[in-house]
Amino acid sequence: MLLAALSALFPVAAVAASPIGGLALGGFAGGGVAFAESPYFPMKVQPWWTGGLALEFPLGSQFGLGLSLGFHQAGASGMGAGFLYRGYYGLEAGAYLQVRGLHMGAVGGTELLGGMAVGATASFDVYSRTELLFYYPSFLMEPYLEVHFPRLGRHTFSLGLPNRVQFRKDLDMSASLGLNLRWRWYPKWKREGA
Amino acid sequence: MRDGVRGAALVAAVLAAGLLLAGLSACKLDASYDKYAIVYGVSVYDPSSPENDGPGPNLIYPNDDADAMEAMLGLQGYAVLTRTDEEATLANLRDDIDTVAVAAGEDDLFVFYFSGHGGYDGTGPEPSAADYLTEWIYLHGSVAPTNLSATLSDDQLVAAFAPIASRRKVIILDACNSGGFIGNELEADGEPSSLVEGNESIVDLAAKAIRQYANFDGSTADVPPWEALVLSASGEREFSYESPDSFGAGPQLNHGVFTYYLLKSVREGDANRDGWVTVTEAFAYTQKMIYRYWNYGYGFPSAAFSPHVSGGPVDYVLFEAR
Repeated sequence: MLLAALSALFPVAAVAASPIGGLALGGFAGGGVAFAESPYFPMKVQPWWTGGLALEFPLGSQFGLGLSLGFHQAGASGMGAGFLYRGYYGLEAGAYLQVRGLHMGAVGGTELLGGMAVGATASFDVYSRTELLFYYPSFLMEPYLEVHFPRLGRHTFSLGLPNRVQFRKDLDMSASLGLNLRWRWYPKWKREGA
Repeated sequence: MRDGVRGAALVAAVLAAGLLLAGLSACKLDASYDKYAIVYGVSVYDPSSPENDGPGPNLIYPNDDADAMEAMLGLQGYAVLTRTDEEATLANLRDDIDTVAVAAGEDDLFVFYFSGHGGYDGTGPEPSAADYLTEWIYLHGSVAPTNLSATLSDDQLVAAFAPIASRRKVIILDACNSGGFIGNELEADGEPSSLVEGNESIVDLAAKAIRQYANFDGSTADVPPWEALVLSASGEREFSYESPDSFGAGPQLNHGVFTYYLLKSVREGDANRDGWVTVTEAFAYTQKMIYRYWNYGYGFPSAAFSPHVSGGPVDYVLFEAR
């Protein structure tokens, strides 16, 4: 159902012309703001950043499956009214479905491709200045634009807008949004037979 | 294409503004709330024995701990009710709670501090966050370890403070086994319940964290973080020490070791230099100092101990750094 909806959004024909695709290795780094609201205290904002590595497998010409391993950290919120949401940091492992489409054409050899990643992560975090370990899953959705400059060989960069919902059982709401810069290296372009 | 770039720039600007606001608000504290504290210290449990009675039921410094906490909290703007020794009874505690309950509102901060004996009724760590074991503090009228007539258990403590409307409650316990009061329902504590007995492996901790997440149903056991943040002197299976002890051994702190460093955290515990010391910062400071100056300098291995703190996503401002 999800695949069908995303396929309608990003038609296969649009990406057929693009050379971008195939097995990819890469890394990502990003930051943004996280929102936390407990059942007992109002919502506050926390700064948040992340980084990690990813491996993406092509599934046909339009889809891909990504696996990621990353580090993230959220700073403490402000302490207005005498309380704050604790900072935390930890590791996350994720899997996501990638849908590529919206080939925006090549200008002077520069390719631009739009896509969307939808997935889930499992996080193990520790509250800052403690040894208190906790676990939670998250849902992630990240629309992105991937650009390839001819001089960079089979390397591309993409800028994404990750939206994450964290399923924390001690919070009424835990979510984040931000900007994510991603680098990918394709050992083979798909047009080369990958 | 230009629209896309403009859109990305707009999103970036909004995020930057959000981060800036988050950073700026970190230093602001709307102090339009009142602070209340009940401070209890029991050195003399058995009046027929001297205060410094070695292995007997009495302790040396809890009354001094309570007096020092009262002075410090008073300077911090807390309204403090203090009881020591024969006044530190269960009946007086209930009266004091009623007094605070009349005055304290939902947005006010409430702190309970206790220095004295603590105990528990088990022989091993709790297998989960559920309340398999009971820990208690000994108020005056009880005599450790067997006379439990004036003790207050972890569950009783939650019920006892229920009349106080404040959403922000902090319980500070300088007592043996006090880590057992902490009812972390979603966190696996990497700090062991006994330093002497050692750590759980990271794999075991991760598995425990997953189990706790899967089994969490919001039920309460011990003192859950949403009822009060507990800052304990020691782990569930550890003693908390005073120094020098009744034999004159140990550094000349003239307090419970935990309380000595907790008092110092007001001046030195502001880890992020924002002018305020939170419960977590006070915990981190006392833990660091106890490791550095007690565990490694004196207490290791048999008298090593470590403070513990409640989990939960929320932290409270405890002191103004000064």
